[in-house]
Amino acid sequence: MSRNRRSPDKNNNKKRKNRRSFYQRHKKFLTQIEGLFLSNTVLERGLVVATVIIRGNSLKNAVGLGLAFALLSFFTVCVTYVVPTTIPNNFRAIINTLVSAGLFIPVAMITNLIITDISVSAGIFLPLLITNSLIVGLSSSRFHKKRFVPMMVDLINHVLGFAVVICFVGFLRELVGRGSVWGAVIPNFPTIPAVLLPFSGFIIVGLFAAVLKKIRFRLAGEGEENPENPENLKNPEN
Amino acid sequence: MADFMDFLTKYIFLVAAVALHVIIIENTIFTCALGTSTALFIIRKKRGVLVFGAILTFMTLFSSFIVIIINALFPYLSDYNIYSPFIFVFIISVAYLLVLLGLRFVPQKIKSRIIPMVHMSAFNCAVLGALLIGATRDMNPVEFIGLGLGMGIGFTLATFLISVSHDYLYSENIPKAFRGYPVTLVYIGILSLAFYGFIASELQF
Repeated sequence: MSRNRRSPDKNNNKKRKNRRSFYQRHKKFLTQIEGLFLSNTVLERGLVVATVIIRGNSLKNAVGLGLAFALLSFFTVCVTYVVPTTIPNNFRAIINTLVSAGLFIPVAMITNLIITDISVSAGIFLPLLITNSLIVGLSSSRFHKKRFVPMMVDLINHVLGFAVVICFVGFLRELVGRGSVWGAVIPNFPTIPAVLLPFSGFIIVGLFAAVLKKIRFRLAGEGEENPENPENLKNPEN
Repeated sequence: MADFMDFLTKYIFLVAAVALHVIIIENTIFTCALGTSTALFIIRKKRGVLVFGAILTFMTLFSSFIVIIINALFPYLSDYNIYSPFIFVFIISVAYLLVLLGLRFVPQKIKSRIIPMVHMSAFNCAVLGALLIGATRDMNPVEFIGLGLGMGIGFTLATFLISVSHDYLYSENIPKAFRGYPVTLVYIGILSLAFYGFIASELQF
């Protein structure tokens, strides 16, 4: 046996060390964008799942809902930031939701101007963004506990995390389900219409969540940091 | 008296029929995915699924009753428009406050168990979704009550079915990348496919 040939164990150790090094080197940056990537709003935290599963079946719907979610959540959390923390959580929940419902009116008008007929195609899932878990849960338990600028950065990441996922899922489901992209049919493209149904939405989002979890394990180095917590799905209120 | 009993029987059957349709054919979680995040949170926190379901059913029913009363006083509210969600959220907030007030008369032991769940049971997609669906379909008061009842019971049934397999889905039998949330979504998808069979429609491949 050649002395220059490394044993498989030494190769694995070197790869593991490099993986850990990447995560450790970029940990601060990865933590700043965790809402977009490693702690993605939909794929890791499990928030606002209904909209992605039911209405994330076309790119147009996805872009419209992503835009509405971004505007509504961003402005609601920013406006309710001024609500004093001395008010009990029970009443803060009411205030957050009422502010969100009030802001929904201009947001729906703006979204309809940009994406025509989104209120028809999205149906009740557009107004259902009012009670999304980001506003009802995370705003009091996470965002409002931070200073304003870090809060905005964190909020933008969470909002983008949802938008990216719903757009990707919508694009994929429309392509495979209808053989079209934004309504433009691709000739002779094989389709599986079942992909447009809710059960496919659950399975597709579940598969993407598994992919993200695998990426997290790889970046952390398996066994190094332990995302192997059964409570890995973050508390919507954290 | 006989006429009254006929009247009551007819409307009780109508409520039951609408509720059964919503529980099986248009299940809150398996068909509409409403309240999925809430259900997953309740299951992970191992809070009483049935107690939470009962509170949520009460919130949807109570909110439906308030909507029916307001529609009787202000008929234009029955039209679904861009302002309806704000009105419905206001109604849910009133129902939430009334429930909190009502809890004052409940023994402390039960109150301490229920209070953490009331907030989540009020402000979630299932309750608001029930009101929005009723408004978009222009339902009459009896159908509205059946819808509210069916949405609540459907949510409870779906959450219970998911919670039954919780321990297995988080066990070491499941590959690491799928363990927990990812495989739970796949599991809900398979249950959703089973419920789709009740619609008696053929899947197109």
